[in-house]
Amino acid sequence: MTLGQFAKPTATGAQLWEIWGRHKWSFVLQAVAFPVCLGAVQWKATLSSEIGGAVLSLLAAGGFVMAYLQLLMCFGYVEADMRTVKVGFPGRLFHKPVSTARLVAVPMVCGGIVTLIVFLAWANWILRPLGAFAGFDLLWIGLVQLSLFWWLQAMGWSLPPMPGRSLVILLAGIGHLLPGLMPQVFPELHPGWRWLLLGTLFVAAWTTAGVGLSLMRRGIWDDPPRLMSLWKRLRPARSQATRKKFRSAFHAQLWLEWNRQGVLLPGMSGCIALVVFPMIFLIQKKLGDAGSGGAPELMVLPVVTLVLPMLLSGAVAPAMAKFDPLQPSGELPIYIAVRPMTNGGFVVVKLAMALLASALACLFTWTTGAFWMVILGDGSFLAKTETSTPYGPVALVIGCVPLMMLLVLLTWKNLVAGIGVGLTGRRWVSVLAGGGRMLLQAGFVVLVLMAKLNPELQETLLRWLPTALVAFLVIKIAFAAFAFRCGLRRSTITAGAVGWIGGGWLLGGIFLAAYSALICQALGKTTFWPQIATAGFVMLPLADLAIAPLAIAWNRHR
Amino acid sequence: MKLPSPSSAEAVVAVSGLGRRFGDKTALDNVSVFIPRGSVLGLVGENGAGKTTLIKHLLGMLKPQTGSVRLFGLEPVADPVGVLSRVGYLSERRDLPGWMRVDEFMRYTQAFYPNWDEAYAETLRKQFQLDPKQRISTLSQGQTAKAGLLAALAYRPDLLILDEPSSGLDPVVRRDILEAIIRIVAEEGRTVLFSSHLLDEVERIADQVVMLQRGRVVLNGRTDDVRGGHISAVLAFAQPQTATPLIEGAHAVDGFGTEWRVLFAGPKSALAAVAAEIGASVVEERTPSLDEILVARAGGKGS
Repeated sequence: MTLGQFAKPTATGAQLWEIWGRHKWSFVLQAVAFPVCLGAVQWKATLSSEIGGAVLSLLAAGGFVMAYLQLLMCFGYVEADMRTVKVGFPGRLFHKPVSTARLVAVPMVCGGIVTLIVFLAWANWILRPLGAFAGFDLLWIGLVQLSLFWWLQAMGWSLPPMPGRSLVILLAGIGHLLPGLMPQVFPELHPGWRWLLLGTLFVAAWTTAGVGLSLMRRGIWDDPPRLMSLWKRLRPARSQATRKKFRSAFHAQLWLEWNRQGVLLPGMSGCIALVVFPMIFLIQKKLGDAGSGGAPELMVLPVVTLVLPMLLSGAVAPAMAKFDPLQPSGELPIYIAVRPMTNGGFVVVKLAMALLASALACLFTWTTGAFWMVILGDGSFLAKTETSTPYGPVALVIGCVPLMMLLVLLTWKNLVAGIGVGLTGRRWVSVLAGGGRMLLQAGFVVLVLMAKLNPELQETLLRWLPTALVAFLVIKIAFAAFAFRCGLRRSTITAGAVGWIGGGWLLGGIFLAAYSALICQALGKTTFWPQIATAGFVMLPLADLAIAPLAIAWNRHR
Repeated sequence: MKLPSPSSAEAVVAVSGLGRRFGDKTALDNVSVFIPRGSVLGLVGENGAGKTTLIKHLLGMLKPQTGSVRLFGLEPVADPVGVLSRVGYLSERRDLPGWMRVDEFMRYTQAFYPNWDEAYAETLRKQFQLDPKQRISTLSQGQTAKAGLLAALAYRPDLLILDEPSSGLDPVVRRDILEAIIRIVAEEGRTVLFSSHLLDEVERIADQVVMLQRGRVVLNGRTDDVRGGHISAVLAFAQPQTATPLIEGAHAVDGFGTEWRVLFAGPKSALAAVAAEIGASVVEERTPSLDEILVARAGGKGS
């Protein structure tokens, strides 16, 4: 008797079997990843090499992140319906003769137990030996993690289709940082209060899931006139404004792209800035030792504020290559594929949307960060800059402008770097390219670590670095030129689009070169400038963008 | 049957020797179809016969593995803008962006077509009773089909391609959609290609029929000629037949005892001759419907 035959006779068994059947390869992978990473940690303890230890630590930590995210996906128990644009509890189960309580309980109990056990096992045997969670009560962190998991499930199932739905879910997730760090932040608080808060969170998550699903099962969310009446009342002014015709196909497509993908990065980044920044500030203030007292708003917040959009852009990038986030495959939706627009045109729109998203994400995050620094700080941030820099606040702000431009550019670069691969709409291409990229990056990290420890290797690498950079640049330009030529010959791109992409790359490269010249001059290291300038040109995406129209053509004309 | 030839300058659609395989499965096998300007072609066949695959080739969503596809003399894969700007398409899957409102979808579509006729679009919207503020995801199946048809018609395309336009719709919506198609054909003389399972629709509006079976064209001709080229007849035998009689030229033979109904491809004189050969006489004959022809051909009965 197979597991499926054993499990299916009862409704609960069938539900569990479905989770297993759909994700069995994820579970198998996890079952393999845990002993592998455990072995890596044990091995690390016996190693004397610093590099080897760092690589094994990276492997183990990466394994945990992947395993935990996969578990969330397996037990999240959500499905997307392309036609109704709804993501939530599988509606097909509503027609089964099963009580709502059981529908809710099976994935919550089963997922909760599995995630708790998996989390504690990883945390205790793998992460703790690596130095993580030192001084933390693991059981407490595990239970807060359980609450987070249940809240993600409850919100994912129960929230109606409304604007900002995913942001609310994100906020619920981020909000769990506070109870997680309570023993450290509020050590004076009686533990009973913590447990009371956790219990309340548990009960509230279960109630939200149960009531939400029950309402959904009764079709209350399918009744937009009642539910959305308030929203509709607020809409007339906006609808009048949006009735204007689009100036061109470019603008129409940009509008579509913005609505589907563009808001993702500014939304995520802004949301984190709005909620996490004050938490970081308060926690830092609580944890701050006497030596760095008052430092958090000067050191932590500005740095996190500046780099947050850039860091998040890597996570958002895969979605950028899609035309519809709900589309399970990367295939071009028919309503877009049949529009008379060149493949290059679609790419240019995506690049423009990414630039807009990067700029807005940075603007919103930086403004919010500055707001919190003023509100929560002791008002001395700008004053402190006078003592930290010899130029004073105004000069500092002016000097920050090119830095901000650089960060916007890097955020944009992260967003579009893998676009050529993603737009093929083929999973195997993305998996292969992603794997190759990870290997390259890992190799680079290992090389840098080795060079750090071995002066001879470091010297050799530095000697060859200029040649290698020029070689990379030549290969990049040659590959891009070849791809553009293919695109022009196959009419997948127009000469104008080639001009925009090539010109944009050139301008970006010149900006980076000029900026690096300023920095090198200020630091008195002008001899390095040619290498840094070349590295800037190498880093900016060109080949990826050149193959993007061909990738769309491959996707669109299968 | 007089059909447009590949050399016809008036052919809006010229598909020649088109072949396509998906793994081991042959989806299209040496398909040739030519549609002259101003005609209405009905594409019929069973599920999986290759209708949607053929349509996807016309739109450039599939690249021909063998043969060629030309619309207005252009290759859809090589020149998607040139072809798609003159084609209106309604998808079988009603693949519309559910998150958009009806008016947003109209504005979005409008931006791609300089010929978009706002007054006509508004007339169609009122005729189809579509609420511009309603989200597409909340539209009924019929309303979604109407929204898709509106977006396909409002720029008055030279060629209208409708993939199962009335599939799963109630009779009222089907009538609305058919009337819209008939109107654009009658008033504007545009070219239409539509696939359908509902052969009474095809009979009503198509002047050319292409029947696909397992990826091959088994019938291609003017609707009247196709129907006229078949006879539905009842044959009477002197003695009861214990097994299904073998009748040359018949696509379906059904009955028992002395009376058997056949669907015969060929002229009346040929049917009479075949009947006489096997010792039967024709006691009733009439022109079959397309439905009967498709069922007979798809069933694969007879010789």
